[in-house]
Amino acid sequence: MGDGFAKFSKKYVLFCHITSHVKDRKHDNLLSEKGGRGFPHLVAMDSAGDVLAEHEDEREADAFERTMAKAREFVDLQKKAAAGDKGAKVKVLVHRLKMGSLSPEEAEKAVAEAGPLSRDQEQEIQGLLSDAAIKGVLKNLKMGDPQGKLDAGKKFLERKKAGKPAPTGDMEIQIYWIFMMDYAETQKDAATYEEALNALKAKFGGNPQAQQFFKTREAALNRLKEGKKDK
Amino acid sequence: MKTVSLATFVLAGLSTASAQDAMQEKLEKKLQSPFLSKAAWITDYDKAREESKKSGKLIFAYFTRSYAN
Repeated sequence: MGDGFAKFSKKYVLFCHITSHVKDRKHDNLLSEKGGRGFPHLVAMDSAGDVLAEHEDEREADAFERTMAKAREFVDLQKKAAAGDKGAKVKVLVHRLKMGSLSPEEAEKAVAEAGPLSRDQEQEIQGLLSDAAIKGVLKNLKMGDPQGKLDAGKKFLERKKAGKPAPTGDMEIQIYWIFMMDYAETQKDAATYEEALNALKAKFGGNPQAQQFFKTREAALNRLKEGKKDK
Repeated sequence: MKTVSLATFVLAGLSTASAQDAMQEKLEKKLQSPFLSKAAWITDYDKAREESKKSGKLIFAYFTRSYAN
């Protein structure tokens, strides 16, 4: 441990969470509850466990300190919001949605309480609400649960049919459309499958690493369409 | 036929139990990692929040895993 980290470590509570997959271990699912999707994941949190800032920089003391400074800025913003600053309230809401600190229900309630929003704010918040909803579904999904994935895909399709916007985060976009495609395949629903495939192509079609995925899915779509013709 | 099914379930149960033992072992090994003793890392979430409340310090959280090598 370098001197920089030793100094840093005295200013904060250092918490190391280990995901173990040991059955019934308390808080074993904490990573996904805090919005993490991979390892290592580093965040600043308050004493309630709310995520204040995600660390996206180098893994060294100065960079950690910059993340903690962002966390303190957010704490100040929360104080302004609590004092009635409407602009701060909207910023806090957007930040908390981005950090995954709100359940979909809490998020809907907070948006209703935020009052009138600008068009840009409305658009950003609606997209983030969709991200929060996708994360909410994922939190309850266990690893290696194909039926759970299909149920999630069904829920996403219902959201879409209800006119809810698609998510905005890269990870959420992939999960939303891929799970929906998998569900559509079981229902022999070529139209939904194609719509989902086109949405993914629009976003990730230029990615060379995704070409095999698209090829496989195109073939599945053709099989679905052929199946329809046979009937 | 019933015997085969029962044996399958028993074997599946044993295999799950043994997989869980392995996960527990990996977790214990991870908790002995040298980096955890080089600073005052807290590995219990409730204790970390309690300490943050008591000291007024923010929490710096590092998420890692023990189940993969």
